Amino acid sequence: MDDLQAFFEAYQTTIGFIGINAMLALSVWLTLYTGQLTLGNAAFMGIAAYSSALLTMKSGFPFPVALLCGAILAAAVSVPLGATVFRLRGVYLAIATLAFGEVVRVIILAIPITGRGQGLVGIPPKTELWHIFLSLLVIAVVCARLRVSMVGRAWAAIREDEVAASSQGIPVHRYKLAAFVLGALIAGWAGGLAAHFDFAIGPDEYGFARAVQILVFAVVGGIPNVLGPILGAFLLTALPAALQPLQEYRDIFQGVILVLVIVFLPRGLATLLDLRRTVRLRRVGAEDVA
Amino acid sequence: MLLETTALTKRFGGVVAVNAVDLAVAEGQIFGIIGPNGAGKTTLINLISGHFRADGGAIRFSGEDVTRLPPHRLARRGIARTFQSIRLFKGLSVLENVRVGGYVRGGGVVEARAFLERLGLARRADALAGELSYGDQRRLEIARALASKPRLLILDEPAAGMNPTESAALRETLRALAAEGITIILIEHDVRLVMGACERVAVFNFGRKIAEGTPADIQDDPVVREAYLGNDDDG
Repeated sequence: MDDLQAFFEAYQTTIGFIGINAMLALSVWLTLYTGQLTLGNAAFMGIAAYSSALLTMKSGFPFPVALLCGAILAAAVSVPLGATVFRLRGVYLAIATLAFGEVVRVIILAIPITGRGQGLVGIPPKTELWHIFLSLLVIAVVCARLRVSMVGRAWAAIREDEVAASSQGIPVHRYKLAAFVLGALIAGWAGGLAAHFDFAIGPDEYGFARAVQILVFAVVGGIPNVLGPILGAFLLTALPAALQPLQEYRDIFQGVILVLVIVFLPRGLATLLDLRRTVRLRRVGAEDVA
Repeated sequence: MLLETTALTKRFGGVVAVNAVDLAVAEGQIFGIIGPNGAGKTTLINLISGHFRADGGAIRFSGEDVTRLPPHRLARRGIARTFQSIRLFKGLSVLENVRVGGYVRGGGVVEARAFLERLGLARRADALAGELSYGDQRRLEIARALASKPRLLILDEPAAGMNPTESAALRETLRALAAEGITIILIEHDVRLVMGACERVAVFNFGRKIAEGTPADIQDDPVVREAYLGNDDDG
């Protein structure tokens, strides 16, 4: 019975993190859909996780207010950052945002109030599963609606050809920044929820590994629509739990599944839903991710 | 004058790609620009559409100084263009391309279809832009540019890769657009198209405007014959 209960508890956590990871995947989807490779979302998550946790722990802020403050702080930081780094493209943009993540980590380590290397312990566990999944639903619907709106068309146009997009009247820089800031807001919200789901947070949770993990969720899931990142986050979060019985062979199986997805569905799981279009896109050499 | 440039200059390193060019295009005109490869035609267009920043001189559009405006602001003011090296959103559908073209006018789907109809692309609306034939891609670029309801339409070699029948149809389309009041700047190597469609023609060589006049004037100009037409076999 103890085993069963232990398993159930682990399962609850996994379900929660599927939702949180899906939100993070959607946060990076926004910039990927615009054709921009950014890796700052782990840091935005961290900024919001720390600030919202400190607000509930030390200042006694109500949970929803603390969440909102954390997300807004992350978005506020993303504005000057985005205004600066979007002069860059491709790998240079990715490296610049990654460097920002490292700066955030070092700052967290340097400020006493964050608990430095030990992190924050004893965060009130306010996050319920329904908070996570209601948030995910709202975020997914907003992203899906944006995608088919004029904003989404402008993002897609920028991804396909920036020069042509600007000559059609699209303020390219502003749209890139909008995707970036909205992504930071979503990552921040997810970070706040994650901090209050977990009791404890530490600086290493928001570093390079997390940044890459978020990117992998979105890319394995696929960029063409918003279901992709959700699918990717689901698969890659649930898989380790589902493969638990395989024990030491787990990582091998997980690796094999990942390789299979990348080899046979290089544009992500979501392309299974519209395979014909995917084949046509490949034929014209159009990229879904720049 | 709808568009006026004065002493417009652009340098790349030691090369003066556009050298003190004065140009005046009247409203409703079809204005041709011809010249050998490397004469600075496309650089001039990139200056007018805001993709390059001028090193000297000024551009006035509809009476206002627009020399330093970025492309998206110029599009909003009514300057649309096509590209010599086709720059469609090739992963988007033909219809989506035209809808992006309507960005500055909030163009809806009905309007977009009307532009496709006009350029003879209505049946390919759901194809991906990258799936179209070369000639269709050129026409789609024009449809996309028109969707912004421009006052000035700049076409950079729109007939490249078109056969004579397509090129003749293009000439009729351009005349119809001009009749509706759209001013057109046409850069073209197809001399027959330029001479048949344009009211005025400017000839460029080595970044300078070396002649300007009616198509008949230009054909008789000895300087032009030497610089450009003289290279042809009909000399």
